[in-house]
Amino acid sequence: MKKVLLLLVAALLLFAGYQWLNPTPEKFIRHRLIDLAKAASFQSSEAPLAKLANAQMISSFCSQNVEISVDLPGRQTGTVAGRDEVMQGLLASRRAVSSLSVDFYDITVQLSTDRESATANLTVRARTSGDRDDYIQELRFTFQKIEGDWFIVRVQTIKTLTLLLPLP
Amino acid sequence: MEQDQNVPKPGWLRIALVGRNPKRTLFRALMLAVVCLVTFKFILLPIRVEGISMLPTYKDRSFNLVNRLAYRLHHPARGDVVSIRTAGISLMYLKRVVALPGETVEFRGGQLVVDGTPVIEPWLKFPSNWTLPPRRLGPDEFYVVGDNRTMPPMNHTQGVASLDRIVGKVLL
Repeated sequence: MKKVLLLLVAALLLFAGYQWLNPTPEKFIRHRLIDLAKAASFQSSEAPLAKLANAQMISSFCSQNVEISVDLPGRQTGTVAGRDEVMQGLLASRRAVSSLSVDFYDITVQLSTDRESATANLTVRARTSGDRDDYIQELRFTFQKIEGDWFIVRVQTIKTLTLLLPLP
Repeated sequence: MEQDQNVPKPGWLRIALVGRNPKRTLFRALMLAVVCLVTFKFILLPIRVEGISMLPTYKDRSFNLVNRLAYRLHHPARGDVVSIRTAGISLMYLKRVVALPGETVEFRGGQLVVDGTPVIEPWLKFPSNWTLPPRRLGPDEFYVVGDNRTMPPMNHTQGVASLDRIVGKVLL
């Protein structure tokens, strides 16, 4: 009985170890997004080298031709394309605000049928120093498998409440 | 009879913690946990209100509950305060329904106008000067807005919520 139990525990440990070493694409993407949120957050006391390292880490999650489209009428509208532009934008944002806290909620990952691309929907909650209210926005990340690794190829804003066009 | 007298009586602390019959207490605790889980996950969702957009009806950092079964049998009505999900229900918007599917909604100098008729909003306590052009809602679309309209309309999260985004009605 004791041997059976030991074998069972060993089998469970092996399975858990295998799962940890070979995560499913959904798990991998989820972890990548959590790492992204951590790297996007910073404190006023963050050292310049750490700022650069975190910005580099975020841009390394993106593909060379990544596209970030922001469509928030009345607030911000525009597109950032390419890893270099993303890097510049990240460094500029770190200069513009003294601290930023980013959290991702309700992450759902959906793999395509060929398992070569995936979309992740989530809600981001961002808080900057000095702002009274948190900033909340739904986002959709599109990932693509490039040379065995998952990279962000597109980020879009999703409108929770849509504004209708005025009647003609 | 003699055996009963030899059995030591449980102390008051033990009675207070696990009751006279620990098995029954465990069963009750489990049942209570199940009831709480079902109630607060699927029926009454506890929420904490954050922000100023629903002032003065709902204050910043106040506690409330969302009745998830409220719209099982009927659609939201004008004046209902509803919670609207984002990507999930961890973060939701708390807004008031001011226009219903198929209606045309507009704001004229702070006055809500639905299908060309001014609507009295008793929940509105602060002055507003919003002027927004008329918009027609589609089927299963509701126009939602906060009670605090003192800020410019572009700084106030508002708009059309589809029925599938409405999680439930705010209870308190």
